[in-house]
Amino acid sequence: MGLQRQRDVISNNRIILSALLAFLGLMAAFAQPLNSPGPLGPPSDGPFTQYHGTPEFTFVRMVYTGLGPSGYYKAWYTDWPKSDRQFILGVRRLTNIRVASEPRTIAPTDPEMFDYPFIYSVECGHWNLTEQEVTALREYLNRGGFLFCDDFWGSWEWTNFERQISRILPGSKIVELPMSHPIFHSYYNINRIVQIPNVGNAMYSDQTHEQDGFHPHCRGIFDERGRLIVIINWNTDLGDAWEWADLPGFPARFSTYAYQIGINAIVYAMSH
Amino acid sequence: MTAIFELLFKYRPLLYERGTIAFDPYWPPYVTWILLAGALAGAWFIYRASAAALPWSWRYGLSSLRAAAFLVIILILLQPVLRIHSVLPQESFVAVAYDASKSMEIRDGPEGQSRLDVERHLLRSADNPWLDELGKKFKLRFFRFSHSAERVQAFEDTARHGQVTDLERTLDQISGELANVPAAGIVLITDGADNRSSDLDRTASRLRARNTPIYTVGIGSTSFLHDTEITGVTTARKVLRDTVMEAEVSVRSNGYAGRRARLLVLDRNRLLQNQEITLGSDGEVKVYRTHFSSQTGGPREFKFRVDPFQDEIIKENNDRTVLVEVDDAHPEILYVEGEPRWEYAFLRRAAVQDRNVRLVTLLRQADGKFLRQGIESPATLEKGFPTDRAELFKYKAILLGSVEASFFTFDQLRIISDFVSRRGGGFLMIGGRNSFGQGGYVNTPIQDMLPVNLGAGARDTQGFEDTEFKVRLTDYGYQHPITRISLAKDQNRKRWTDAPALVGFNRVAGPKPGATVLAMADSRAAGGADPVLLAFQRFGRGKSVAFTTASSWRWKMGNVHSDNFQELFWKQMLRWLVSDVPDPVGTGTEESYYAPDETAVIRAEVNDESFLPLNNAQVTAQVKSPSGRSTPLHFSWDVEKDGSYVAAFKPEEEGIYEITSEAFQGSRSLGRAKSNFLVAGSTKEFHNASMNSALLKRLASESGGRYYTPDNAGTIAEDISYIDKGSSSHLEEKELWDMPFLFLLLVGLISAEWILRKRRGLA
Repeated sequence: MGLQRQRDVISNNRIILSALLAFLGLMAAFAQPLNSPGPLGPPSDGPFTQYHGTPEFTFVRMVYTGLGPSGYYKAWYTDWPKSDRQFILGVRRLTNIRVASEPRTIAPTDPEMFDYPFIYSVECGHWNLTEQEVTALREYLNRGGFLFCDDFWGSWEWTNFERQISRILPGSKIVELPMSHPIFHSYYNINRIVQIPNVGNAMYSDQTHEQDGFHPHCRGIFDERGRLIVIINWNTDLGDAWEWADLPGFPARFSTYAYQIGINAIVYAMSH
Repeated sequence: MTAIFELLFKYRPLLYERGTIAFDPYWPPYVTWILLAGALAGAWFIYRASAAALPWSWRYGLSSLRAAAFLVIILILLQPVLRIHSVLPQESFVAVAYDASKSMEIRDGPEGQSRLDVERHLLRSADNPWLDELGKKFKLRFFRFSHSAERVQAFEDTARHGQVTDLERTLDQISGELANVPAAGIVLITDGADNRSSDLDRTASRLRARNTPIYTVGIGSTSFLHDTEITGVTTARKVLRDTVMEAEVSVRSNGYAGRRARLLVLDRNRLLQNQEITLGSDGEVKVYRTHFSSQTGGPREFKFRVDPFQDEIIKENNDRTVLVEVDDAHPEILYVEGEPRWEYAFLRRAAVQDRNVRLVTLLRQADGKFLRQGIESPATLEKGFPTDRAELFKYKAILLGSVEASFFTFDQLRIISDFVSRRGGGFLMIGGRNSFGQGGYVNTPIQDMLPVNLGAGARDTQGFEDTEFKVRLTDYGYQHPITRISLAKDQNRKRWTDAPALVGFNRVAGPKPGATVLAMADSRAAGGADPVLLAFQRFGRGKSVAFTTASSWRWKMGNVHSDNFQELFWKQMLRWLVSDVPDPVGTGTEESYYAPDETAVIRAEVNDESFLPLNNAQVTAQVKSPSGRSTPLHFSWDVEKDGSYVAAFKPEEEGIYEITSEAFQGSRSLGRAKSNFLVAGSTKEFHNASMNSALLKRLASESGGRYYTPDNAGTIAEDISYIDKGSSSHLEEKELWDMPFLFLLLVGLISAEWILRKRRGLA
């Protein structure tokens, strides 16, 4: 009975995902630029259209010093690069933002980081930041950068994260973001935090948590003017949902939420 | 010159100007013709006899000289006379008006005496007989004047001198007093340092039409040897709190060319600014820009001062006070952005820090999907960009980001244009791939408004440049309120030099002829001629700015976090855009500063919510005195200007007055407006206080009178006696046959002939 139910769910998910992909493809077909200029000049590059030149937004993944040795499975490169590329496709299709086709990976110690006011970091529970990284990140956030933290689980990783973030922003307070916060409504209206499991659990298990991270949280750190500068997605794995959104069996409810919160965060950073 | 003329022609030029020359011979006219013919023939025949001895040229020359001598004799025999109208004694009135304003205290007389001393000397009959002579011929009426004329019995000095000189009002009043009597003229004794009149020429013409010429007597020196003077201060009368204000201070100096002086700005007695200036050449008016700010709200008295030199004649004119209302308002600015951009986010962050500006934004996140921020109520911009003028006109400035022209309907584009030209709002277009020509704004109402040329058509439009470049300010850019990041000049230059490079701009086809360019992209990086980065121009009642890049956020991310360069730039930009943008109902006085004995003229401008002037409104006001007493005022419509209403108020105490006016249409209130004005002991009389002989000469000539100095004022009585014509006059004939000029001419002609004859051996 349970197996049948699971098959039905997978089958339903396939139908939903196929429909989503067909819809996106259809919209892309209709979004070709017109060849003839309108009465007020050439048509605009509206959403879903191609464009040239420097993009406005580049998805940047933070290259950091972690706890594990090189090749350790929980590090800055988890899910990279497919996750980033898939996420970019969604952002380009669903919003008006001019997103660079290729993601980038930049270390905080690289001054180039300051050219990109939005930075994504995965497995933040395994941060083991050097002093230079800490200083650069502090300056980055103080100048107006936005840090998106994802995919770390349980109390042990949280404790390590908390210790590391307090080095970056000493004295800052981490708060639970209420569902009324603008980040949940800047593009999509998100009414609840979803726990997204890793791809294995999502496909083949009912379990959504890892370690003792039973409940998903979306927390944040604000600057002194009330602007959210760090979003902390704890006990959830958005990166996997972006990475495996094209997998026929991956539940659409997970990828939908992952795209929604990811896009909302980018729009929030670019509008607040 | 006049004396030589009088010696040769017997009478002064004025008599010839006013009279006509006629002949009064003892014989009938045909005798004159016979005499003329005889004289010419006689002259010819005299030299006919010696024809053989003389060449033709000599014969003609000598004959001509003889003929000319005969003609002069005939002219004398014709009894020439000067016919001129002369007033009947004691039949006409003459007004003698003397200046009793504060500027008459200036001691610029030849021996250091004051203008008042010169005036006193001129008007005391014991010192000067001309007044007695005048009194014998005319009935005299004395007036003392400053801001208005006051009838007095004779010259009398007062302890308190007027703080304003209003010649127009004075002459109008005197003319009114003489309206019902035969008036022969007005003697106006003054330094001409008028600081109130608006149309003196009209007054002069009116007096000429009434045959009442003005005889002006100029007292004082036309220029001072050693003096510095603030001739004017131009600054906004109303600014938002914490705004860095700019003032243009005009300074004229004499005797200190190239010398250095200190220009100070004081908020009452607190020093706000102290800068060194280099004075111009003698008589030159140089304009200096100075910047200052005030954190305190409400009406503020700012005093501008050039520190006086020891040997200056007038020290009072080194100060100027202006009243500026530091407003704690929160004007709304609408920003429409076509796509999520970092520029949008960082601009909003900068704007949010300024509590005196409210930024309302409409961000298109996807096709048909918008994010509204900074809105007052859920209904604000619910239907997108306003289609209704009233809804749009409540904002004071509009910012367009990377949003293409086709996003708007043609009507909306026209409303935006009206927003600037008619409503007087501020407009800014920010660079981007859908801005300027790249956004299809060619041939739209927005194109007319922009300070930059977009090219002839869509095909001319060049692409968006992705180049990295440094910003280079123009000379004016370093001083403009938008781009002056630091008050200290050197520091300002350094901050611009150190500012991080930007990336990407819209290439436009140069600035429009009337535009002011504040910043360019550095040509070395951009290639070719320096592209315009920041420019503005006036458009109708408002102003339009073009900022062709959208990467100013890099000033924030590329600088240390404590550097507020980017925030200051946007704060100043937004404040400048909303500065001086009118409200539908506005009020204010014609001057910000009145002397205690002046009447304040208060104006109100009334428009409906679409900024169409209303002529059928009822406007009332309460004027609150410094002691807190309120006086109600009712305005009347000014027929000369649509939507304009006027009222007068006579202040009774010194200090800052507050006007609160409200306009109604029926019982519906159209809006309220507040304004302030200052009543204080004024130094106005010491500004532009050199004797204005040009004005007095013009006044005299346009009214048919004459201009005098104290030295030649003695002939006034005689000059007034001879008039063009009038009811109380008789015709006088003055003989001219005995004028020395005719005898000298006759002697000269005969002598010349004799000398020539002598040379040829004919004598």
